[in-house]
Amino acid sequence: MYSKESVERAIKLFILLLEKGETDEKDRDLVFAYKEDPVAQEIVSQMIEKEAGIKILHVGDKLYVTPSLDNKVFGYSNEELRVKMGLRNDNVSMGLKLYLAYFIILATLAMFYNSDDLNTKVRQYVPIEELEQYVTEKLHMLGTGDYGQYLSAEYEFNFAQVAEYWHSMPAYDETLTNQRMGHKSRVSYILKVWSFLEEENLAKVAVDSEIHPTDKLDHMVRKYYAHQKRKDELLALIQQKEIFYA
Amino acid sequence: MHDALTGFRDRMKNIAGFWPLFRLRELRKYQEFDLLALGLGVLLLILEHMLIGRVECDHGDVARFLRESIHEAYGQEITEEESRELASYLLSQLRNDGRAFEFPYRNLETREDDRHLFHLIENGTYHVASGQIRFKLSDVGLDLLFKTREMYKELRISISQMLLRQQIEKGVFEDALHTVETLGLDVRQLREEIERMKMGIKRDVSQFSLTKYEAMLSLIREQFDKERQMFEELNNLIRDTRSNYEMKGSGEREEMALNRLVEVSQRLNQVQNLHNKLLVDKLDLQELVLESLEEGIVSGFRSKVNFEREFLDPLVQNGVQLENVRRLIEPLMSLNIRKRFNVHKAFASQPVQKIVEEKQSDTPDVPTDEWQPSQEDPKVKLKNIRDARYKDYLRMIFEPLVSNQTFNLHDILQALEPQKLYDVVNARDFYPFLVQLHQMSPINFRLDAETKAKILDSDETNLPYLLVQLLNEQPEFEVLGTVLVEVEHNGERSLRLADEEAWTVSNFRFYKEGLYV
Repeated sequence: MYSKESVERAIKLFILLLEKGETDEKDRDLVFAYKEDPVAQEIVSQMIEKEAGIKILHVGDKLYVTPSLDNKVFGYSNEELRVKMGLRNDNVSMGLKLYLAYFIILATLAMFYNSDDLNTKVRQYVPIEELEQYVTEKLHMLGTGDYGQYLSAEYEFNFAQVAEYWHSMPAYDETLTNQRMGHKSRVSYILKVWSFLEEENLAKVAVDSEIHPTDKLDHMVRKYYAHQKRKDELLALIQQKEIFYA
Repeated sequence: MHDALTGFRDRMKNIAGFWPLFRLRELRKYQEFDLLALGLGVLLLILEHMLIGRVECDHGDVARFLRESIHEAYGQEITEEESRELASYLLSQLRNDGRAFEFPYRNLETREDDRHLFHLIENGTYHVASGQIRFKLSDVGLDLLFKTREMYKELRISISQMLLRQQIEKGVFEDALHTVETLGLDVRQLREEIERMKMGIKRDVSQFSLTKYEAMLSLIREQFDKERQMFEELNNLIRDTRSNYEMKGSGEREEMALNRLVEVSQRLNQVQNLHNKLLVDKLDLQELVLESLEEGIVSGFRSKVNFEREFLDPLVQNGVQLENVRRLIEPLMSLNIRKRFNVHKAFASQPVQKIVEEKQSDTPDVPTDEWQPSQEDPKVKLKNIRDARYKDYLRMIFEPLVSNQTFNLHDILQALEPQKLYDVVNARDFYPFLVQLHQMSPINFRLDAETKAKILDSDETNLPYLLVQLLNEQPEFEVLGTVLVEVEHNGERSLRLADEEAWTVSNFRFYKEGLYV
């Protein structure tokens, strides 16, 4: 039988995280009480996390919340993410544009977290030119394998087209003073995705040319992605091959 | 032979810090300038900004500094654009594009290859409005600069204290003030080291070394005891010196010296406060260690993650479908809270719309930009008068701050001429003005054009807008950086101003923001 206080504490914390996504200085008392209350922790991990399809991550004196995979209630759909990232709905396949945006996010993460011996970011920031080159290089490989010409049925694009689309854009739009405003160059594309990361409080973009990860990103990577079981789940997704449409 | 090589690693580490500076000489670009000298200059500029009472420096400050230095040292004018480019170039070299500098060498003592990883510059605060990162020196960067002045790290605080003592005894207060600033930097340095240790523990408790932790705790304890005593002695010394000067009489020189001394003692108090915070840091550190160790035992099965090798490369090779790529980044996202219609809102209080009579006019009713409220409107007249007065008050309060670190309301009013003082304290709008100003704290005087454009005029509470106007008229106020307004803690907390009505008002203190004090 759970005590009323513990149930209240667990729900209060859940609502707080729903509202803000992470705790801050002001929530010190609640976080402290929660940490001292194993029953409230059990309610959170056994019921709330399970039923709401979320995961609450602890780092030091901070708590973060993140949706579990395929959360229908709190997760974002592709279309919602398109709107959030401000990708224009023009005649280029939306699936292709989203694929590119997700790819840029993963590439940004790869620039910071690519060390085998340290479980931490390897650098303080990444210049935009370097990421642009990195993405260009990596995309050369995309679409060259067996699946290159496979057509994604729902969004009508194939992997080779993603690379083609990227390579067809110029690195910079020299007619623009503010590259964030553009949508026809690689740098503008990266800045769009970076603004999204900034909005999610995962990174700071300085002088429109450098990305600096925030503590939140660092914590999320270490707590979520470095967890063996969760990592295996994600790695399994990469191994799921597409089915060929004859 | 072997004895000679003891501590080889530490010695190489000390040398390594200088290596990025010498690398600047080998660059192809900007060969007309001595980049090593300019690079060192930039590091010194960052240090200067880190001293108490300054805002940390950003790209713009570095560009301005380089432009001036080149003008002075080479007699050459470079454009603003060129100076910004040079600043970006030098900063990216000094920060190694965000990567740690790696200094490989052969360790003669252990007969193995060894290396040092370090940063010279670290990120300070991030200024949201302008999207600027501010810089501070890393531990290695600071050490490097201190080494160029032959100071040793462990002794740094004590040396500064001894220096300060001598300066006060000799009556050299200008230097004393500078020493106090350096002292504050040293204390902050120790706090940052604690912070770094905390970060390290949060990152990976298994990498954490108990001996290092114990050494840190005893270091804090020792430093704390030793320095607290020293600080007390210094405070006594200042008090004695001060009463000595007060006894001597009221020559202009004495008065100036006394003022400087008061400033020294105020600064020393700030530093001492900071020093006392070390105690709290220590408790925090201890708590964190316990917690992390517990957690570390629970999550012993955590692994490492390499995004490039484990995620990105397999992704390009395997042709992963869009849905699955989204799932890979999904854990980073915030929760998607969808807003829905709340039927109870129907019963909530509703704003009632006024029925406006339709105007009969020939011209279509299109809003234009040229529309201006009539100057004849009494409301507008009143507002203009009030705005002018408010601006006057702003000047009255912030002008003295340009040349001073801190002022309270009492000091400011005392400095006014009697007639002016009478006008101010008897004006009813002075009091709401003070309240608004207090609510605006911290007040930022360095606004970029974009932020300025976003601050609009309004009928009431338009103090931010007036401040922007004042800044446009008198850009010299920008040197104030950020000013804080607080109720005075020491001395009089409230003032009685206008005699006949017995109005009282908090004795506000206005001071320029230091970094941690």
